[in-house]
Amino acid sequence: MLGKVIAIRSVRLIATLFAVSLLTFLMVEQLPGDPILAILPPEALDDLENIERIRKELRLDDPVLTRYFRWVGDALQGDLGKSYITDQPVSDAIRDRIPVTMELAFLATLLAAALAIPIGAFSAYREGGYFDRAMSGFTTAALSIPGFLAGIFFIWLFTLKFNWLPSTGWNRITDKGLLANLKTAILPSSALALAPLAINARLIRADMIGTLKEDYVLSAKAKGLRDRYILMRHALRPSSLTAITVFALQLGGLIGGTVVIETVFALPGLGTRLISGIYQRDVMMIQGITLFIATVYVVVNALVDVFYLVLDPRIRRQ
Amino acid sequence: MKSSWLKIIASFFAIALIAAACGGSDSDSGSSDTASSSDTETATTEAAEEEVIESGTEAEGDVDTEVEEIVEESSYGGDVIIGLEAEATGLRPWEDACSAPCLTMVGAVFDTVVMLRTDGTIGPWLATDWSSNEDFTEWTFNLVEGVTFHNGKPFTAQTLVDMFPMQQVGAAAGGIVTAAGLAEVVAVDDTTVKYVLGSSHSAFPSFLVQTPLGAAFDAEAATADFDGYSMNPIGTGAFMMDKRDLDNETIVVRNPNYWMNDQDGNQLPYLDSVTFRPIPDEGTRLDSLLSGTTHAMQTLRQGTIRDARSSKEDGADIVLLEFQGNNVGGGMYNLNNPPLDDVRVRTGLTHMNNQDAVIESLGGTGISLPGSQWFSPDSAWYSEKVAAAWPAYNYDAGKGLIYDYINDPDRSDGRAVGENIEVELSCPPDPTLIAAMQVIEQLWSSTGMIDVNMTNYDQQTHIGYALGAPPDFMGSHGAHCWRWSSNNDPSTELNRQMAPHTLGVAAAYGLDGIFTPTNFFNWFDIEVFGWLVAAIGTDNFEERYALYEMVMMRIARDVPMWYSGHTATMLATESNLAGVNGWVLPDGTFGGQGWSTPQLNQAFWAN
Repeated sequence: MLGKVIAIRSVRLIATLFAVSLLTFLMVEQLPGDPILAILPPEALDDLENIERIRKELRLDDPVLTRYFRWVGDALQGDLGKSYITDQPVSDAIRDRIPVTMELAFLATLLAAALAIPIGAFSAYREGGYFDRAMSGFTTAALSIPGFLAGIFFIWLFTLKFNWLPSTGWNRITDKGLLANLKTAILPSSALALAPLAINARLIRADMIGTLKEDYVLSAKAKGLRDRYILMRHALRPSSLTAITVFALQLGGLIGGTVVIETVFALPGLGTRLISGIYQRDVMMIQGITLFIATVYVVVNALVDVFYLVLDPRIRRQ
Repeated sequence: MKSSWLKIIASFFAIALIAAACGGSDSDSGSSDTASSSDTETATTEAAEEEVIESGTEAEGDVDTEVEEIVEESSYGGDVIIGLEAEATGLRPWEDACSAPCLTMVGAVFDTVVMLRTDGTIGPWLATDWSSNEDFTEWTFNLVEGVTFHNGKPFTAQTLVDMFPMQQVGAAAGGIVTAAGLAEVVAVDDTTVKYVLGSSHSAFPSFLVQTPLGAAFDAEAATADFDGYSMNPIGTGAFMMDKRDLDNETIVVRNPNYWMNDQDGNQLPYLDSVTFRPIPDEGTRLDSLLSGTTHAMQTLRQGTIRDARSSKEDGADIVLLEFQGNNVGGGMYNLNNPPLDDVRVRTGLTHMNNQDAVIESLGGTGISLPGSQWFSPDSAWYSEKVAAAWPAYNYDAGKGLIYDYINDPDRSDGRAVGENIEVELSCPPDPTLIAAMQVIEQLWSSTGMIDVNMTNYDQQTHIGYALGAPPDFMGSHGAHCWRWSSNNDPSTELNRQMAPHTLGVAAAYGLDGIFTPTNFFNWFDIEVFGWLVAAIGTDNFEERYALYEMVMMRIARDVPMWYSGHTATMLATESNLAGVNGWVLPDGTFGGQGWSTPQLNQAFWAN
């Protein structure tokens, strides 16, 4: 039964990826301007023979669909092409940058989870109380403030005012160790964590309010068990399913969401490369990175779906 | 219960922040305390009395930082972290397009044959002196002896010969080879090289200031690893590549065998290493300097210069080195696009450019000098006559010209007499540029005779619209924001941009095969072309000045542009970082690009 469901989801996944790749390719194709103009500086454009030679070399004269299927075919073999501007293989660029983006997304998720669970749980426990109302205000604010603005504020506060943390740069774990790495990662991942923190705190609060009214919780209270024990053992676990799902989905989304934060903090992640690729009209780089981010998002979503099926037999039966 | 949860939250924050703030001492290598000299050697760079070091002539009202003789006692050691506005596309001089951030990196790793002085003239660098034959078709350069590449290979005349085939087909250098008319490079002996041109060019050495043609690279290594050379470039420069982590940091370290000494005979460079860090966000780049995350930064934005000035006034311990180069901003008109093909419309629209208000909206008041031509008032090529001839702000005069046009039964846009003209006004989507556009749009629209269609496209699309598509490159733009000129010889910009804009136009004037896609006006004047050719047929400054003045006068009359201000750029550094301003060429004259691209081989931390 489960195998059949997974097989159906896999077919859907492949169809989605196909659609994503086609849309990515067509969208980049629709960008105005001849790619040759981005490849050659204006001073070199008076050599018309050279222009035609490059066009032929890159097979830019081929029909759109021919180029699409060639690109997809190569991508399936792990070859996302070479940057027209820097000559760097796109897969190398992704490989070099994905650790930064993944770490940011992972740290942001971790931070969000570490704070959202206690905030949500305690808000539910003290529903309508001072803490609940304060946290309601905080989560509304956190959802309203764009991540990049929070990033700028963090730079002002922790770099300019307190001079605790660097505003820019990235210390790689492999070069400088974990603590030095955290020193450069904590501000951007905190800025990135704000929105998921707020969403999840609210989700957990809502779930837990319901759970805390369940008979088995009331019976636990009647038995005289300690509040902390009831919250952690009886209420939090059943209320976590939705939050876990959302955390997983957010992790995929955060990989795309780091684009702006990486630019604000000048971090060498996928987002920075994507943005510079867009500025440079680096067609292959834009296509490759967009496809990669979209694929990660779609695959994570699919895995969450499967995970959900495994955890909850009711959904499987549906 | 309540306090327990609060403790958990508070503890988590505290642990995360303390761990992050205190950890990894090695990552502090960029902090300013490492700048203290190792004191292994000290050297005084005060110029000897008999040396004459001249800076560029400062114009009245100029806001440049004056280039001054270094008086601090220099010392060896220390590291510098510089915030750049972007990552370099690549570091292959012959291949990769290079703007200010890239030039800063390239300048540390590569030496050029000659170097630009602050006054715009050409000074020695890898070449000690040079001369030409009578008709400027052969240029002979004598080279410094004892120069080696970072891989130990000697730099000789043959190096420049070996570079030439790669430059001829290089994406960045190919066009410059053509513009210079360079046909052949010949090694006369180890230290003498001859450049043979296809036609006269009295300002040929100015091409060797430019990175694509002038930067000395190891052609053998470049051929062996064409793509990899960008990550591991090998030059003769003061610094050698140590680490290139794209979009994060590029670290270059002291070249122990660097050929150049300071004025007192001490070997350069002084610094142990330089880290280039691309920080695209202007505010973050400035904050990084103010917080000590970096030690220096560059900017090409007036708004950032204003903010840096403000921080300095508030007590920030920084030095601001401002440059007001020949580059001038504003906008142009595409003559292929009626009604802009009519000089009354072009001049009328230009008259309605409230220059002061535009500069104010760009944040450049007191920072950027108003432009009236391609040369700034500092430049030897600047002309008061041209400044007076340029259609300056005169709303009524502008309105009158537009009125004449729309009531002309033979108006070029095919509309009925009295009907409004339609103009597309386009700038890249920068907030300050949009503000400037709005100033212009309000003035134009207020005449009641102009329908202004404002558009904003990203930089690459904006350029693409001005270029058009091969093979004709006509451009589909209308009134288009743009920048012109550089501190280099006028021929390097003007001769190219005023050439025939299509092969058809070239053929019509008997100039078969001579065309340029960078004639963005789509305007050709055979007389102007003749003056420009004449200007590279003589090395007499007065003659050349007169010719370029005539060209600028004709531009002011026939294809006026709406100028805002000259491009103000800035290098901001920690106050004890010296030698960035006031660095000198081997002949003791001041060097400078007039652009925020520091030459770091003489930078040092003052004690």
